[in-house]
Amino acid sequence: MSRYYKVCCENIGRPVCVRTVDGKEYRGFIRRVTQTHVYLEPIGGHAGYGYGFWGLGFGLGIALGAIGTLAFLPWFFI
Amino acid sequence: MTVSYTDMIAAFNIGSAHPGGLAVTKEMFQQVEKHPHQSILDVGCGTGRTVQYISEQTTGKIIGIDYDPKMITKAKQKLANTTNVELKTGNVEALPIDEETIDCIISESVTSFAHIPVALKEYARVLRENGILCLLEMTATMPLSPEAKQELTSFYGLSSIYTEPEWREAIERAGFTLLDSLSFAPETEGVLDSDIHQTIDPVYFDIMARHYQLTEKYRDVLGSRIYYCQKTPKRIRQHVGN
Repeated sequence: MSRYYKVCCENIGRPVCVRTVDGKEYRGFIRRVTQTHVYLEPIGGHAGYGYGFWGLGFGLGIALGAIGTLAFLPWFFI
Repeated sequence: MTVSYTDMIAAFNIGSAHPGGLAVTKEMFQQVEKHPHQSILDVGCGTGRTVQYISEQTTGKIIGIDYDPKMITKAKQKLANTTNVELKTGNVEALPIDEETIDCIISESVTSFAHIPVALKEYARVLRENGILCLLEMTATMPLSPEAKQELTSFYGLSSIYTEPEWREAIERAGFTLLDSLSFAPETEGVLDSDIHQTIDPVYFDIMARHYQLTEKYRDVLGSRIYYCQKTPKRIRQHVGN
């Protein structure tokens, strides 16, 4: 299983920047995690190709195996 | 379903939902401790994270007030075993507190959601002479365009977004002396409970994403400041005709 599975599960609701192994970049909030995919609520428009796809109303799906890097984005509340 | 920014904060159960998070609360309390603080009032206490922290630092009495009964219920659960804490619902523009009974008020990103001059007057009413008011408030780093102001106030449900000079003027007009005004980085860490297992309605994720987009869009003009204020003694207030 991908090493990103656990880290995604533990950080549902947080904003991340995911870069896939083929160099695509996705920014969004982690909404849902399955054994194979992480689903993001995208920040800044619904663009995204490559490994990302729109999955069953759970946001933008990215295959865990396709993740090259995952970084947490800084955020704050008002 | 129409949900607000504050509904989203409640849905995610975000504990220190203000710029800077709990780290800034800790910094602020270090300043509070230099002044009398036998009775501390946290206005807009939310789920009680700040009240909890302060109750661990002092034996003084702490009162937490929030307008949302659901928040007060959560705060009461969190603080069930704490003896020096009182939690109740109330409005910051008409606090359920007697005059001149409080040593220190903490207001973390709450006053901007109320009618600011009315809330500041109300803080002055319940504070003792020389009492301390700590305001942690979003502050525009330059005057905002009407469009920017409109977009931000309507999304967040704010009454207004003041610049630092506007805060200073409102604070002094309400009967306070501004002791210090400090800017700080608003970013925060560890505000989410790490065990969000329950399904959160997609509508809240949508608001979260829009919140993020707005803070990015206005990054250069939205700052955060702490204002340390002291209630001006009566004789001086009368002297300056206030």
